[in-house]
Amino acid sequence: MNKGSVSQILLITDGCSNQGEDPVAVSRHIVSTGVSVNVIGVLDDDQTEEPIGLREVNEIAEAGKGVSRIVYADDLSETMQMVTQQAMTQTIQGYVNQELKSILGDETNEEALPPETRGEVQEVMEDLSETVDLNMVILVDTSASMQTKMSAVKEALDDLMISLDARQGQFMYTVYQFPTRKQVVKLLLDWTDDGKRIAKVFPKFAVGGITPTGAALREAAKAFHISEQDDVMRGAAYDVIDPSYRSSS
Amino acid sequence: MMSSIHPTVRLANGTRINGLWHNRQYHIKQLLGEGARGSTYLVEASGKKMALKISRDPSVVTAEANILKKLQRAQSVSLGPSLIDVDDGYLPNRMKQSFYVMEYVQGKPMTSLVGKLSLVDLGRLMSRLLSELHQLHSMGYIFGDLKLDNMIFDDGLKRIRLVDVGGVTQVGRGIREYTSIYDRGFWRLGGRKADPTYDLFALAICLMHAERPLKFDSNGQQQMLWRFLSSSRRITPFQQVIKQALLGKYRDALHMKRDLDLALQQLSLSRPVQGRTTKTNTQRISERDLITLSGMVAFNGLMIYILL
Repeated sequence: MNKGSVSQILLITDGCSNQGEDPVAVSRHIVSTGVSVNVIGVLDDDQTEEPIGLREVNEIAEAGKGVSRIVYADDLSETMQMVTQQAMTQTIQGYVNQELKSILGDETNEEALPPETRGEVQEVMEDLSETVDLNMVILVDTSASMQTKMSAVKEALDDLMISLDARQGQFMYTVYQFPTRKQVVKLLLDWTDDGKRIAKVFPKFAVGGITPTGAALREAAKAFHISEQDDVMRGAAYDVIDPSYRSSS
Repeated sequence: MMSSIHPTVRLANGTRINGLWHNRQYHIKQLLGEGARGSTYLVEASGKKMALKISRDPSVVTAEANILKKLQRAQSVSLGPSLIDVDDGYLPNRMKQSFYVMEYVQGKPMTSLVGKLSLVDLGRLMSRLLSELHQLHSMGYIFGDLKLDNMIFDDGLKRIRLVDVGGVTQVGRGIREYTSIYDRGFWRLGGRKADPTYDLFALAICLMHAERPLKFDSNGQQQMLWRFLSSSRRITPFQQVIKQALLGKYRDALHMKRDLDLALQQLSLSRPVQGRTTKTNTQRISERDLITLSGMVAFNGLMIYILL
């Protein structure tokens, strides 16, 4: 199997969007371009149950064929790693199931195989998720209420880089923040494969008022298209493993 | 597979599950554990006790069964539980779910034993574990999620068995599953690419728990580890071994084992003296001093060993 690439957006937010486009609709559009949308909702320490505003988090990820989790700031590190890994596995699972269907007929997916054969398919998927190239747009909500959680977000992203650096596949990422005074999103760090650089972009975070999540998602997703003109990314753009393949049951 | 589903599967005691492919029947006795990847139950089949792992995510079942199969192929290693069956079955709610069945490792959890065992006994168990880890490493695999919670003192075999193979990773790949406090990446003392030193780091953290449970802030502070170690009393004899392992200085498990054995030798030399002390306060202090002293002796022994 030839090596492909997986493209993801990781949105980190603590509340519901209150301005502009419907983020769920935007997310549905983004997945049609071959990019999955993962969302992590960050709870305040004193929030004992999921606030209604955070329900949107699950809806955006569901529309974007991604993974979502709602957690306290303290659990961010573990969660980010898990969400990223799981989303990648899901995309690859969907892709492999699609391939199986084209070989074995319409009704076939991995679970229809006997456990012994399934084991072999699993190994192929594991190889793939270890070696596939990963391109990730990280989009951080920096509205006022996120202020107290920023250091935890920074720690968690820094930690995520340790995990992604350990993979065999190439890893490229870019970081955006929203909202800013003049633009919907602001580029904090252009496409890079250097995990250490993320720690340095964080002091730049300015924290502002409104939360236009939908518009921000749309803008940030453009990063994948910008990258097509980019020399580093050109090779990766050919062989995208499309997350919309994913057969949800 | 939907994103929001939790992988655990709740089954009432007494439930029977029939395997669809291999036609074996399992009788649920009791929940053994729940985790981020699924649930483990004590089951009975043909009059024997076994452990059944079930998850809503079928890839978890397949992946872990694969690893157990591989471990089994290297017969000399009975580090993990042996694999008995992999199958799908219908639950009482008519959902079809994948599961695998393995040997039920009967024993005491190391989480509770680590503070109770004598340092010599603990050291010997860990030394044995290091030999077995070395075999696993030689096969090209790292245990990954090595922690006290995944260690059971097998009553029958009188040694540590490792359960939960979800973190087992091929050397050179990214560690699949880990627990922050045992993870060198968390403490910023190394990366998460699988190599033998990754497991040795985690084993050193296990040894540190013999002092007292290690607590940490949300972000790992390296200084905290070193402070914990230098102010430790009970584990002083192992201080140097632990430090070297934390720093990734041991090339492989056998090198760490060699130093641990050396520390153990020094410790057992001082043991008869300890045995004579009665439990008065002043003498307890002198006992403590003796342990510190023997730690220094062990350290000197180590230095001589290195110099030679």
